[in-house]
Amino acid sequence: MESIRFRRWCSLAVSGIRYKPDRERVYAELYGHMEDRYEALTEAGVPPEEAESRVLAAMGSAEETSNILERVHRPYWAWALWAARCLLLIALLLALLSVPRWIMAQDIVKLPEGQRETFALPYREAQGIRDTRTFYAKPMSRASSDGYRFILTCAAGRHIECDDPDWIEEHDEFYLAVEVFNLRPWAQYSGILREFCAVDSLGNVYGAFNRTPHGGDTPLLSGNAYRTGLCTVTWILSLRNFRSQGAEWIELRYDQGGRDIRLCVDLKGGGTE
Amino acid sequence: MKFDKTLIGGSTALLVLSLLSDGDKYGYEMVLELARRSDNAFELKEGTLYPLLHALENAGDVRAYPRTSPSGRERRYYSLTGKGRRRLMEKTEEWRIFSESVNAVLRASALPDA
Repeated sequence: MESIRFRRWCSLAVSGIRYKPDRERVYAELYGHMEDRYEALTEAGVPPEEAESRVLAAMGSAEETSNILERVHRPYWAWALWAARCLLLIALLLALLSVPRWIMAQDIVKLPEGQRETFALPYREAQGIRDTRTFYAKPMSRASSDGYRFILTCAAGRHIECDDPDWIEEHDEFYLAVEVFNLRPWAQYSGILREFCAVDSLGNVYGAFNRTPHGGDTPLLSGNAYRTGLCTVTWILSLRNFRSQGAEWIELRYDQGGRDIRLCVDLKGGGTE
Repeated sequence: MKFDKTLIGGSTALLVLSLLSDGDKYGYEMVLELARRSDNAFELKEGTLYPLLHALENAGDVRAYPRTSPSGRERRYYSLTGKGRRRLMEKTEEWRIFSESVNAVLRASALPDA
């Protein structure tokens, strides 16, 4: 049987249950009970309308039932559900925020055709670049420490000659891509990037960004991080004031807090283009 | 005879556990059985039975499962668990001591028979 008054009573009684599956189950249980009672009364000859009223009277106050049901059905599941929804929302927001960075990183780091990884160097707006020679180093050095896993995926440099009077007429640029994996999301963008320095086989030192005065012709290691996966961030590092022409290798180093992380680039192992 | 609500209030869990001691039942069946056993003395507001059953279920004293009744309607049956059976024994003993104590006090007050 269908009774609007029963439905209203049940809706009010279960209104305090926040977890929807529980609310629906208890609603069905209460409604079934009222149906049973109603059928028993009508079969005993009680007129339908009076039977309906008697059922409602036997059930008691819907508000009182609602209050007790609310206390019994503590909303742990509801809280867990809300927490899960919030986490999902945060994850979606993070994913959305990371998409542009990911796209940027994909623009910068081109994955290989065949064996050789190529490196699309960051393009710099300048007039009159008349000659560039790009060379690729042989990276693929790995290191691990404190839950971080570092993989040097690409390394490349270019020699630039330029007619622009505002630019240095002739100079070298050198870039490195380091994939940093860490399962802990809060550690993925840590300042560790800016604590790395670089040295080459000739003894040149490119100071860590956080510990080296900027400006002038001081060799400096700088860069940015781009999210390229759920647990992966790719650093694009540049060696400012490059002076490692002729060096056999360049090594990225981190030696703070008793750690010793080294990632080596073999400058002789690549090619030119 | 109508009882003071507070008299039955503390004993409803005992009554419900007791109703389930001889077999699984659904809510409406329990209400009928309670009325039959008490000769309609207990008029439990039927809406409050379900919060009580759910609290007992949360406490692990009863287990609920859906079953289609002989009339073809799907109902939620309740059965007593091992823990519920032990709790029933404890509460029965508690009730026995309580009622004996109340009776002893009443006997000592020696009210004249009406």
